[in-house]
Amino acid sequence: MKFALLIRSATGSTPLAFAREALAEGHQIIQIFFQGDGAHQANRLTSPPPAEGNRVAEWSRFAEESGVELVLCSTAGLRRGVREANLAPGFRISGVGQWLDAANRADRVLVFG
Amino acid sequence: MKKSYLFLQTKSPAEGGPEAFDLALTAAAFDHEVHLILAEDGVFWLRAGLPELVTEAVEQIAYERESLAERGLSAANQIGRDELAKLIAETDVVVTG
Repeated sequence: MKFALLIRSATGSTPLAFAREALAEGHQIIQIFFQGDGAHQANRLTSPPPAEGNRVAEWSRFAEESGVELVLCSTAGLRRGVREANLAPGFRISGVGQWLDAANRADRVLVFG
Repeated sequence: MKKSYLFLQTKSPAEGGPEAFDLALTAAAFDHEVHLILAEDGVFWLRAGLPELVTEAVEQIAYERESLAERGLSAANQIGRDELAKLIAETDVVVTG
């Protein structure tokens, strides 16, 4: 099955766990789109205490390992000070039209937020 | 076949802000069938007023009847919880927020 994921929350580990599990089960993830407060997860300057784990770094690692496209909504990023200069590796910045395109192509669209 | 989209806004204007409607506006701009339903604290958009861009672009906008009643509000365009469940089942893509 082809999934498109939409992430609208700054916190939570469920989307990443879902993405890993879906790929392990042989499904395809055509895009993970970060919109609204989800934009915080693309900020490479994020540095939480080590005990909490660094979700931004985990996303970057996931992107590198899986090749799944991580897309930051440009306006959501601008509102929250996430731009090319501090964009985490593995992410790219694009518009909401990219999300719509993925949603149209996917079998299922999942929203986390 | 073009997909249909349902945007279910459950956050108040204070929590959500106009950014919540960006996706709905885009889907509407590309001529998809778009429903915008305001439920739970989302019905407070009735007081704040939806952005003009949204009311112009999205054809189907309704407030959930039970959420309105729970908050002592009333709107001209209402949808009951049962009817909403049916709409969710029939729609291709449901986006909550």
